[in-house]
Amino acid sequence: MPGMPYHLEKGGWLSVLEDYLNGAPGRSAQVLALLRNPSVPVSDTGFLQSPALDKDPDYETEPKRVGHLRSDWFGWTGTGVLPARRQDPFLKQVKARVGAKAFATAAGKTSLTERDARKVHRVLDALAAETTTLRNWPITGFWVQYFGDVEEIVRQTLVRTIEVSLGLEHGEKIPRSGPRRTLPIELFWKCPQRWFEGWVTWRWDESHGTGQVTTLLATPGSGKPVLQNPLDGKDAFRPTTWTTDELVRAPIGPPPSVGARSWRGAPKGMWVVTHEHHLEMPDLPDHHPTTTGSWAIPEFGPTYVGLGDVVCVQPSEADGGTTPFGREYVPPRRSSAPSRPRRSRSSSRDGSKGAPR
Amino acid sequence: MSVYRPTSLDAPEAEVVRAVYDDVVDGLRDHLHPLSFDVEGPFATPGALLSDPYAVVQWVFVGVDDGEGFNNLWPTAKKITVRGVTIVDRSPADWLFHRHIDWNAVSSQLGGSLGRSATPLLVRSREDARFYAADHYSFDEPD
Repeated sequence: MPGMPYHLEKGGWLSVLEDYLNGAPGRSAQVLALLRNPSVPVSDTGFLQSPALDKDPDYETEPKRVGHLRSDWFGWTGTGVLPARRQDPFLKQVKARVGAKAFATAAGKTSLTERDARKVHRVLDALAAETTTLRNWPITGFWVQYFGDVEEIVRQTLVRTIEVSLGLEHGEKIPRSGPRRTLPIELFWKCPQRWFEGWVTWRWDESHGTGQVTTLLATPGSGKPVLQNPLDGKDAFRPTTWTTDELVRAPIGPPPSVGARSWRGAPKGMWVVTHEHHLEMPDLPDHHPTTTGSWAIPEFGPTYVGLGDVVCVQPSEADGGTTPFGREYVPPRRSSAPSRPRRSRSSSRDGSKGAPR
Repeated sequence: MSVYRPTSLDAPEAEVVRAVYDDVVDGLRDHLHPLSFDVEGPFATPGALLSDPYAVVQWVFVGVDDGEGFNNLWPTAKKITVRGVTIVDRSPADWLFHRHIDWNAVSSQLGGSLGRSATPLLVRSREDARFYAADHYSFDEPD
């Protein structure tokens, strides 16, 4: 997913991934089994192997696509087209940049683990004030001023997406009789924001056996600019209809689910999958003197680091989430037709005061 | 037209301004193609404020964002104005440059703002801010 010049994207990659998950009975269950195994890289779960993606001029081969996802999205490193090493943890990378001695001075006798976000922040605060060599914080892949376990967030987001689609509890095995339902999955990529999140949302109409899981990968910027004018995009146009004259195979979705109607699946839902903690990195002073021409461009705005476990959280309705049944629309008690405004005896239609009639 | 714009500077100031010019153009060489460099502000007429071994130059540089891009951002082809104040330490043989640059203005010219703050503390009332801050950063609540 190289990035498009708009704020919201589906593009070829997510379109193929949707079709991969929706297009054949049982396939999303197979992908779920792969995603639940942490030793299987997310890049190796199948959809990147599709020749349908060979049309992408920058990533026309499978190794290029896998390499792009691993290095630019997940921060893997290595030589050659195919990075083979997962990214090092954040503190290890900071230590490598400033040197073990400077790091130890800042940390003191503190035993530091990334799980203790407050302690990490205190140590990095001390380090930022003392070091003259650290001009930028480590980042993950091509994400601007963000570090986190993106692969795990994407993995957990897709796991939750497929589980909701198939009507499974988290971690539950698929029943021998098959999944309780199969809701179509829709995927989007939304950027930019300060840190990486996966949003899993759904609707489920039990009485008709229909619904949809809509998932957004909400990410920091990848560095690619956004077009200020939407019509400047390649082949962009103003649509006058939602219909099409093209005669090609339509994407196949699962049929309406059938089965017991007494099942307790929540008809609406909205979850966010992200790191448990996000730390704002201390500002790195950039006025330390250097000799002529030796500049280091500072960060523009804050850098955020995701620490701790990747968690799935359900925001409350008050904070913008939804309750399991949403909030029912209740019609007004009176007629909703606008009432005729009462004209003041001392005002006329144009607002000027006039003599009463 | 020359990129270097300052004219009629006396010798000691001219040498310092030229050194700052070289530093700015060289320092931004991977990012901005230079269009102009000039001095501005209260020391613009002499070019620099000298106080041995230090010199202060307030400058403005204009260039095209056609290089490797700032902070992993793609180059935008925009004309970018960079303003800064450089304190030159002339005591070592290789002069040292303390640069104070308006990077926020560079970022906004690149269109890089996000328009939203982030905080571990959701402060719903201004009156509560000091209490939350004291608790979060472990200091005594100020009066």
